Amino acid sequence: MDLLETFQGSNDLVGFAAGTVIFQENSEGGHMYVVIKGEVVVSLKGKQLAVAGAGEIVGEMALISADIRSATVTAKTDCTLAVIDQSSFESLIRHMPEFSMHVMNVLVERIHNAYERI
Amino acid sequence: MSFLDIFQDWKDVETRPAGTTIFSETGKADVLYVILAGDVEISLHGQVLSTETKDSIIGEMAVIASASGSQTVTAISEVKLARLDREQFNHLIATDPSFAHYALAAMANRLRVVNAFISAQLEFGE
Repeated sequence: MDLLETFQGSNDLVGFAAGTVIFQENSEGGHMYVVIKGEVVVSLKGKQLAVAGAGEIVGEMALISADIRSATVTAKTDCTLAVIDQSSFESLIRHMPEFSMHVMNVLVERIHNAYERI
Repeated sequence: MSFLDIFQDWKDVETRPAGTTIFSETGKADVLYVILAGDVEISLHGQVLSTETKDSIIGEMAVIASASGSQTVTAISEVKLARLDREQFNHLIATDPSFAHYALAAMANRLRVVNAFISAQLEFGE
């Protein structure tokens, strides 16, 4: 599923300047984001875990399990993100199984990357 | 009715004794299981990451991403497992949003556990 194509026309786009903290680990979170333009850095306790670019998602964990943020995400460059709130997320899961599969694939990749660090 | 009820009448059910390796981190797999009874331990390189019990999904990574192994899953009591192949899993995701949500939550939890493990390692400077 091409998330960039799906969300670049979203009505809910937000811009962040390079260096801005988009969300912080252990904080409450009610949104996930699709990177439309630019890059963001995912980090944990100050250590960089990944860089996400156009078409990639960040912040999905807080929506899936209604839990606190598991990592910090910072704008690496000036960037534009599409915002997905809880109700849009539920609607996507209900009506677009390919969205669920896409998010599952992202989670598998993240778990694999995490396993590499152990 | 909980979507988990569909597994109570699932045709393909396996029982494994305590001590059985259900998945090996070096092995190949193309099925996943929903635990109907009993407990399993998830480990990597000999380090225990978590214990999973009734209603948990195990082995989903291989089915979703055709990834081999990746973690070892061992029965720590006798376990009763509902077996799903890729086609059955995809069908459930497409037709039952509550199952999709449940599978996502299971994976998010898996990632949280492993991140907590790494976080503890970072704290101790390993």
